[in-house]
Amino acid sequence: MITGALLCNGNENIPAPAQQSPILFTGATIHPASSAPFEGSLLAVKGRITKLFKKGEALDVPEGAMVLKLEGRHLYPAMIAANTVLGLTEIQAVRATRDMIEPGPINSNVRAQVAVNPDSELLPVARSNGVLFALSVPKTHGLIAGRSALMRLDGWTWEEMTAKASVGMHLSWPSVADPETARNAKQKKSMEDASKAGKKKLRMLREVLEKSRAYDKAKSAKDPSLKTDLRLEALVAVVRGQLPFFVHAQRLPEIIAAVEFCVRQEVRMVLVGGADAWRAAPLLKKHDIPVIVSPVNALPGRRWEDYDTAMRNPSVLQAAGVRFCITGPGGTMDAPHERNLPYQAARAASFGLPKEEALKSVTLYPAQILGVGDRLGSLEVGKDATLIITSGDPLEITTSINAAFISGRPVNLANKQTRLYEKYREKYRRLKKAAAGG
Amino acid sequence: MLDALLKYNPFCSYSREVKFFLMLAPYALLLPLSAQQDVRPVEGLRQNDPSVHALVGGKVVSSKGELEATIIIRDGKIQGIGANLDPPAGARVWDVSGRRIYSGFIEPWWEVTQEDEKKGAHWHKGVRPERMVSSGTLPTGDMLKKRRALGFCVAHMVGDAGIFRGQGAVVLLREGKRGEQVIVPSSGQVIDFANGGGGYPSSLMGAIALVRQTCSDARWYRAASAAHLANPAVVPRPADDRSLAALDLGGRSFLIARDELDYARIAALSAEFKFSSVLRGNGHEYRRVADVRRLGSPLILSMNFPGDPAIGDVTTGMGYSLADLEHWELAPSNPAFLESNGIDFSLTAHSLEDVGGKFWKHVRLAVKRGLPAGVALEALTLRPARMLGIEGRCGDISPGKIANLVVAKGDLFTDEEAEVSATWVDGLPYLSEKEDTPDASGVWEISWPEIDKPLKWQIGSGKKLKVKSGKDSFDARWKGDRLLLFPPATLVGGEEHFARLSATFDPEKKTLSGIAVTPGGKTFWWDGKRTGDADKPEDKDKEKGAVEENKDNEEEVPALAFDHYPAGAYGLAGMPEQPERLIVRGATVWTCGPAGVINNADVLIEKGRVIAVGKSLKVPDGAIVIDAAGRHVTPGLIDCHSHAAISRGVNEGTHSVTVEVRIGDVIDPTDISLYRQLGGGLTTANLLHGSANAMGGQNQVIKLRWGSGAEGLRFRGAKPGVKFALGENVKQSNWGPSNTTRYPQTRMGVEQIMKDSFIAAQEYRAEMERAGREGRPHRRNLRLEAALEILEGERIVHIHSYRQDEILMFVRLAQEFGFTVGTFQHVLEGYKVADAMAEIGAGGSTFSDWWAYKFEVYDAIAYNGALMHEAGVVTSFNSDNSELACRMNTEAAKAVKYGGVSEEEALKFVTLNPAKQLRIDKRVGSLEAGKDADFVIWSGHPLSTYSRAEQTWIDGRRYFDLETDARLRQQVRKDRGRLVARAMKKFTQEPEKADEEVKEEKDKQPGGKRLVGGRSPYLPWVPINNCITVTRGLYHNGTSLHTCTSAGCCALR
Repeated sequence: MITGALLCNGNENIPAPAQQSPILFTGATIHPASSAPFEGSLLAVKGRITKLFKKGEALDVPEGAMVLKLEGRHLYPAMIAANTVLGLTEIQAVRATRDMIEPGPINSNVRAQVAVNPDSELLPVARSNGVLFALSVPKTHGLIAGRSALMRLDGWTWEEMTAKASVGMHLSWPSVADPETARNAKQKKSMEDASKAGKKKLRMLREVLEKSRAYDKAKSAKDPSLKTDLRLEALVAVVRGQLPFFVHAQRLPEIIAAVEFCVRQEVRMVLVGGADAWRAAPLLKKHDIPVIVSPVNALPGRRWEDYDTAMRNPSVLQAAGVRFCITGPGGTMDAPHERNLPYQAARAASFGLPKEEALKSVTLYPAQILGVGDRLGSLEVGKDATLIITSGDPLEITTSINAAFISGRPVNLANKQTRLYEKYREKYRRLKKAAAGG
Repeated sequence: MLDALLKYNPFCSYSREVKFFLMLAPYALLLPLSAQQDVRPVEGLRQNDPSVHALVGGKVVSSKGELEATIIIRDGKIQGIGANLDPPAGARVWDVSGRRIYSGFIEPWWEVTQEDEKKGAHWHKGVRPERMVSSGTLPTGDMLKKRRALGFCVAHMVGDAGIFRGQGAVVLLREGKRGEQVIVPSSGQVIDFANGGGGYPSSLMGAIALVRQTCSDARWYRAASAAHLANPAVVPRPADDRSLAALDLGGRSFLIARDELDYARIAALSAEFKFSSVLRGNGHEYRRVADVRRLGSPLILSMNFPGDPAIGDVTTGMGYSLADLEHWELAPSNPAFLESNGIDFSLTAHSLEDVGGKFWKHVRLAVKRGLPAGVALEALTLRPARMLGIEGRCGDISPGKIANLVVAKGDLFTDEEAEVSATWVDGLPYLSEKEDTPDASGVWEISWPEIDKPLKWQIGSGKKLKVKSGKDSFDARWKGDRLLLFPPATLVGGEEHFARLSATFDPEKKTLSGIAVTPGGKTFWWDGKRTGDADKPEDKDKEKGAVEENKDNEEEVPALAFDHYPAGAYGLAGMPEQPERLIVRGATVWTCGPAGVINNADVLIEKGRVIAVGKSLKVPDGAIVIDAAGRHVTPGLIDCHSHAAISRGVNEGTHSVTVEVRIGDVIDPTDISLYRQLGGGLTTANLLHGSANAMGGQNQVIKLRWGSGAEGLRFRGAKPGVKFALGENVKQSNWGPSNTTRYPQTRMGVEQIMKDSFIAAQEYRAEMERAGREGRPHRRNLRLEAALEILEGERIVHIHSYRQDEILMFVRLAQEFGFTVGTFQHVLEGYKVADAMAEIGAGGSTFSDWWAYKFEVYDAIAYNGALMHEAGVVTSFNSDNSELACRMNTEAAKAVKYGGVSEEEALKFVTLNPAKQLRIDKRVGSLEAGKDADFVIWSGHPLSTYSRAEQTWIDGRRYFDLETDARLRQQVRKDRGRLVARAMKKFTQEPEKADEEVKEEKDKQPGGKRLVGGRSPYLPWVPINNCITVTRGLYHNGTSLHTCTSAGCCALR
C-alpha cells in the first residue's frame, strides 16, 4: 500500500513541505499525455521531472532517492479544472459562503485568488480524485466578472496556492435576442427588453475598452491630472493584449458576436462554455480562439437537436483543429462536484473524441490554454512533478486514485467525506459486533 | 344605496342613451326600436321607428347553397324569405343587389372581465360558480362594433379569470339595454385549470385537484341539503354556501383546454363527474385528435394561427423548434382535419392578437386548406347555435328566427377582398363604417362662369392622386368624400404658386362641384363633368397581378400529414413494433437477478416478456435475432427520482399539506428529455412532486414509452405513492426573507404537521364510518382520503430527507402510525442512521455523490450508497435531473468507486433496487423469466464511462437505437430544411410583413378585476425566476428544472 507511506500526515490535510529528496516512481505505466504511454520510471528532483526511463533502460538514480515501486499502477499528469468557483464558495445556498459575484456591470479589478479559502472542505474532495489544479473564476450578473487565478489545491495560504494570476479577464457575453422570432406579443416584449439590455451592455463594453486605452496612454505619458481608476487599470493588460478575455458564451449568436468583437478590438479571447462552438469551429480556428468546453455532460440547448449534441462538441472541435479543453459546468453551484472532471472528458470520448485526446483535454490542453503548459499538463522532463498514481484509467469512474504529488510533494487525499466514512463505518462495525456478541 | 338607485333609475339610463346617440352615425337613430317586451315605464315621448324592413336583391347563402331572395324583417324577427317575395307595404326597402347575405355569425367565446363586486362564498377566490356574466358589465360601444364589423351578431360571453368562472351568457351584439341584449343569461359553467397568481393552486395538478374537490363538494352539498330538509333531526344542516349551490353539475359546462394534453384531462374529469361538456380548444387539436374524438364534446376552435417564423437570421432562427415550424405549417389545416375526423366545432376569434385584421384571413386560409366553406359557415352559425342551445332562435335565416344577418360584398369564405358591409342584429341595421375612397378617375371637363372653354383634366384614382392637365400634372387628394385639388394657379387664371380647389363628388351623376381660391385671393365656384375614361390603364393593376403570383403556393402544404407524436423532432408514428419472439444473442448479460452476470448468453423474449436467459438458448422459429456479441445487456435502468414529463408545475408548494394533488393528472409525454433518457438506457422513472412542502403530492411511475400520449406512459400496476419532504425546503429556509410565516418553520414543526395530518385522517375515517352508519351524506375530503390511503397501506411514502435527525424522526413516525416508507429520497445522511431505516424496511434513494449545495447536505458523502447498502437498506441512485438521468449507468459505477460495492450489486442501484423501492420488482429491474422485456444493449461494460447505450427496449419494443436515431436525425434535418425553405420564401417575399408590429388588442372594461392570471402553455422559454412555482408549457427544450443556479433553486432538491 503506497498511500500509507506517503500520506503520513494522516487525516488532517496538512500540506506537505517542499520536496526534499529525489523520488523515483518505478514499475508503473507512465501516461505522459503528450505522448504514448509506456512502462518505465520517472525521476522527480526538487519538484521537477528530471528524467523518464523506459522499462529496461538503466536507472540513473541519485543518492538518497526515495523509490516508489508501483507495479500495476499508472502515472498520469494531474488534472486541471479550467472553469470553477472552487475556493470562492463553500455552500452555495448559504449567502455568507458566497464570494464570487460583485454587483455592477464592470468588475475587471477583482482578483479571484484573494478570496480563495485554503481550508475549504471542497478542495480536498476535488483533489482526492486527481484534480489538483483549478481555475477559480469570479462570476457576474453584469458584464465583466473579474480576473481568474489558477490555484493549486494544496497549501497554507492563497498566496502559496496561486499557481498563476491573473489568467483571464472573465466576461459574460451579453445575450443576443431577436425579437422578430417572438411567438407572441408578450414574448416579443421580453425579447425586446433583452435585446435592448444586450446592446446597452455591448456599448458599455466598447466604451470601457476605449477608456482603458486612453487611460493606458495617459498613464504612459505620466499625465499628472490622471487619477487612478481600478477598473480601467485592470483592463490595461487586456487592451495591451497581455491578458485574454475569457468570454463566457454558449449559443452561436453570442459566440459570433464575441469573436467579431475581440478580433476587431485586437484583444485576445478564450471562449468559455461554447455549447455551439462546434458550429463555429471554422471561425474559431481562423482566429485561433481556444475553447474551454463547459460542460460536456449537457442536454442539447434546443429541442430539435441531436441527443448527443453536447457530447460530440469536443470531437468536432478536435477534428477541425480548434484548441480546446474540457471542464464541468463551472456554475455557481458546481464547486462541490469538480471531482467529476475526468468523466466529462470520458463522455466526449464515448461520443467520438479519441481517448488520448480526452485525457489531454483535462491535463495538457487546459495547461496550455491557461498559459502554464510549460510547467503543467504532461509528464515531460523539465515540467513539474505534478502527477497522480492510479489503479487504471482515471477517466473511468471505477478507477481509484492512490496518491498524488504536486511539484514532487505528496498530497493528502483524505477529506471530509473520507473522515465521515470512517467514522460511520465504525458505528456499523460496533453494531455488528454487538449483534454478534449477543 | 346610491349606486343601486342610479343603476335602476330609468331617467339616468335614458339620459345616458341620449348622450350616446349624439355620437352615432345617422342610421343609429333606429336604435331604440325594440322587439322585446319591456316592463319599464316610458319616460317622455315614445319612440317608435318603423320596424319592417325588406332586403331585396341579395344572394342568401347557407351551407346548402346560394339563393337570390328577398328577406322580410318585422319587429326584429325574420318574417319571410323567398325569391319572389314582395316587400310589404310600409317596409323600408334595402337594395342589396350583388351582396351576399349570411345568417348572423355567432362568436362562441368572448372573454370579458367580470366585476368582483361581491366576495365569493367559497374559500378559494378562483372558485366562483355563482358569478354570472349576464349580471355584470357587458362590453359596449367600440368593442361591440369591432365584433359586428366581422359579422358577429351574437356572442357567448364568459368570464376571463378563475377556476370556476361562473355562468356565461349569450348576448346579442346590439346596442341597447342589457335586457335587450341578453338572450341566455346562464349558458353554463366555465371551468379552467387555472393555476398561479399566488396561493393554492400554484400548479396544474393543484388546479385539477381543486376542480375535483369542488365538484365533489357540490354533489355533497345538494345531497346534504336535501337530506337535512328530509330529516332535520338527524342530518346536520350544511353551512349555506351559494357557490356550491350554484354549481349545477347537471348543466352544460365549458372546459378550457389550455394545451393539447388538456383534452384527455377534461375527458377524464367529464367522465368522473358526468359533465355535459363543451371543449374550449387551443388550435393544437390535430395533434391529439383521438382524445378530442373520445371526449365527444362540441369544440370551440381557435382561429389563432402562428405568424410566419422569422428565420432570416441563421443564428437566431435556430430558436424555432421543429414543432414550432410544423405548427406554423399545420395550424391552418387544423379545422379541415377536425372536420374530416367528424368533430363538431365552432370557430372563435378569441385569442387572436389582431382580431380585426386576422380573423377572416384565417378563416379563408382554413377554407383554402380544405375546410368546406359551407362547414365554415355552419361553424359560425348553426353549430354554435346548437352548442349554446339557441338553435330555435339563431343559426339560420328562417321565419321566426331573430333577424341577425350579415350583408357582405363578396364571398367572405373564399374571396380575399370580401368584406362585411352591414350587420343586422335583432332587426337593427349596423352599416359598415369603413370609408371607401371615392373613385372619380377619368377625364373631366372643369368649368366656371368666367372661362370660355372648359379645362380638360384627367383625374387619377387612389387616396392621393395625380391630375393631368395637358402636359402638366399636379397633386390632388381625397379628404373623406371631398376632393381637394392643387393646380398651379396659372391654370385657373391666377398668377403664381398653387390654387386650392375643393369639391364634392356625386358618384351617381358623376359630377364635381366646389369652390376655388387662388393665392392672389381670387375666389370662384366651379363645376366638373366626367366625359370619359382615363387614357390608359393604371400601373396599379399590373402590380396587383404580380402580388397575386407571389402568393404562397398552398399546394405545397401536405394536406394533413400529421402522423407522429409528439409533434416535431423525434416524434414517432405509432408505437414501435413488438416482435412476437425475439432473441438477443451472445451478449454479456447482467441479469441483476439470481443468475448474476452470464457471459456469452442469450435473452429470449416473447410478446414483450422475458422467457428465458441463459447460454445457447434454442432460437424459436420466426424469432427476430439480434446479434449482441461483444455487447453487454442489462435490465432497463430505473430512475427513482425524476421531475421530467410533468406539465405546468412540479410543486404544489403552497399549502404545507397537498397530498390530494396527483402527478398522474399532469403527465407530459412531449418532454423531449424522455427521448434523450432512452438514449441513455433509462426505461422507467418515478415522477415525483417537488419538495416545497411537507406532504406534497401523489407520484406517478412511468415507463418511457416515447411517442405515446400521457396515458400510455403510466406504469400500470405500480404501487401508488406520495411525496413528502423534510428539512430546509419544507421550512422555507432558502425561499428568501419574506417566507417566514407558513407553518412549519422548524424541523420540530415538520414532525407536528405530519402527525396532525395523520390524526386528522384517522378522525376522518371515524367520521366517514359514522356517517355511513347513520346514512347521512358524507363530505369527501380528497386531501384526507389520500392521507388515509397512506395509513391503510394503499399508498407508500417517498420522503425527501437529508439530515439524520429528521430521518430518524420519520422512522419513528412511520412506526407510530404504521405506514410504509417506500424510500427516503436524497437521504444524504442516511449513512448515519441506516440501521434505523433498515429496521422499517425503507429504501434509500440517493444521489451518488452530490453534496454541499446547501447547508443540510454539507455532511453528504459519496460513500452514502455503499454504507446504506451494507447496513441492509435497499439502495438506489437517482437523478433528480433530466441530464443526469441520461447516464445512470455511470452513476452506479460510483458505488464501486466509493465504498467498494461489487459491480454487480452496484448496477442494481439503478435497476433492481429502485424496482423494489417502487414495488414494481415483479415486473422490472432484472432480466428473469416472466418479467417485462425492458433492457438495454450497451456498446461495452455498463459501468464504463466509455460505453453507450446502443438499443433501449421497453415491453419488447425498441424505443431507441442508434440506427433509428440516425434516421430520425436525418428526418429532422429534412423537415426543418423544407419548412425553413417555405418560411424563407415568405420572409423574402414579404419583408415588410415581418417587421409589422403586432397589434395587441384587448377588450378592456372599466372596473373589472382579474382573479387568477394565466400564461400561454406554448411559451417555449418560460423565465425561471422562482423555482418553487415555476411552471412549464409543453414542447420545452428539455432543460432540467434544476439547471437554474440561483440560491433559491436548490429548494427543489
